[in-house]
Amino acid sequence: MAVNLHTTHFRFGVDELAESTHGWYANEDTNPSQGTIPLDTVFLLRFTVQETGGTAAANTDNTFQFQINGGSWAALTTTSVGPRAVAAAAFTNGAACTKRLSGTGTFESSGAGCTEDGTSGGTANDIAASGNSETECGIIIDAADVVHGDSIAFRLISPDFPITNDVVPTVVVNEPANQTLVATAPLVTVSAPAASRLATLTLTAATVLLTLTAPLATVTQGGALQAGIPVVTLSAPTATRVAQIALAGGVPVMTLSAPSATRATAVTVTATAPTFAFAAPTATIPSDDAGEWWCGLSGLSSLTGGGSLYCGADD
Amino acid sequence: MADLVTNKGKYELFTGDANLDAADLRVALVKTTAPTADTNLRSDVTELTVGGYAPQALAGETVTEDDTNDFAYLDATDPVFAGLASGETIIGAVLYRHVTVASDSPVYAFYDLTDTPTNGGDVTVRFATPANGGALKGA
Repeated sequence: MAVNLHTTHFRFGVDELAESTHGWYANEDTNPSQGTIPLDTVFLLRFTVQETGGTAAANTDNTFQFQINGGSWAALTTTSVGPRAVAAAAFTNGAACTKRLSGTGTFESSGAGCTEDGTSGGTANDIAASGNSETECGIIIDAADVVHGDSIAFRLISPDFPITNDVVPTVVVNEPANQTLVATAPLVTVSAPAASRLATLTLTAATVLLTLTAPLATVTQGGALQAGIPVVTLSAPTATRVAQIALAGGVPVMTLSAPSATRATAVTVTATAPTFAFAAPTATIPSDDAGEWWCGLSGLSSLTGGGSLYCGADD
Repeated sequence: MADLVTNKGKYELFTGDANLDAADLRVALVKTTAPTADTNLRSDVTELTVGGYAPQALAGETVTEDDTNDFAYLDATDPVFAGLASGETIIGAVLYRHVTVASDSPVYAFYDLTDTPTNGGDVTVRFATPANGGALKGA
């Protein structure tokens, strides 16, 4: 019977150590699970070439081929796209393979089965009748040439004899898409409570300091500030004194300071009140409820500030 | 679900324990159950367990005062979780201060993310721009 060659066994190897000692990615005749062989990493693929016709196959060349997703078979070369043949750390191109896979009959131990370019064997590869040889190739799969889920099959052909591929080892590409999750900034809110005085406020002597400071600092009804109160301050983004306020003698300082500091109606500043200050972008004493300006100043030692102070006849 | 700052986070901001631009801040990915404002520790959070997963330490942390827009914010490099194996769904992430272990590491904030199954690829959590508060905004 004529030469009858079959690929009968395969195994995916780790490119490490030496041809006779390197490890494996999976068992013989078992495809590695998806992702076991990383992309852009050299791995090894070894076949058993078994002669079954009872006739020696002298000078047998082996050529590795690959197929992506059931497409056309193409030669595995150093420039092929997808998988390609590359230099391996475990052997040199043209070295003989030791027997590491299953096979029957005489083993061809000098068959130059190691390849870094996708072809092996040749004149050194004389497979005995009903014997076998092995061939192993260094391979890399370029990530740029494949996508997640691609199925890459391998086989052997020979220009010398037909080879029936009883086994077709396959690698499934693991190249999942990266994902970006968009986050918004969690918000920490810091706020102060409103400070207000809602009803009549009477400040008597010996009250050293009255301060209303907050986003809203208000005195909404009339208050009398009497002698002995050194400092009265309304300071906040909105500091208001809505109704009448009287500064009696002995009130050294009355300040309305804020982006909006207002004294809505009449202010009476009597003797011995040294300073009445408007210190704010807008510090005003508007008209009284009759639409006429009124304020009484007597004995005031200074009047400062960037606001406007209007005085007019009382109605 | 929604983004939130935990009460523990607010507390540590006031005590100063947070010290955001100096602390060992980390981000963990959450599955199945979102934390609440009452969540205290990383060990109270249901984290991913798929292969390849580990919380990521933040890099490039900066705290900035924005006087133009009247807020302050923490910003950092977007954390990348490389090669998360398939099998679980990400629902969000937490920002926490790593102390020594999960059970002593306070959780500061939760990011509500689009539910995303892991697929073996990388996952990047992209923080907001500085103008939008970065990783954490205080106003």
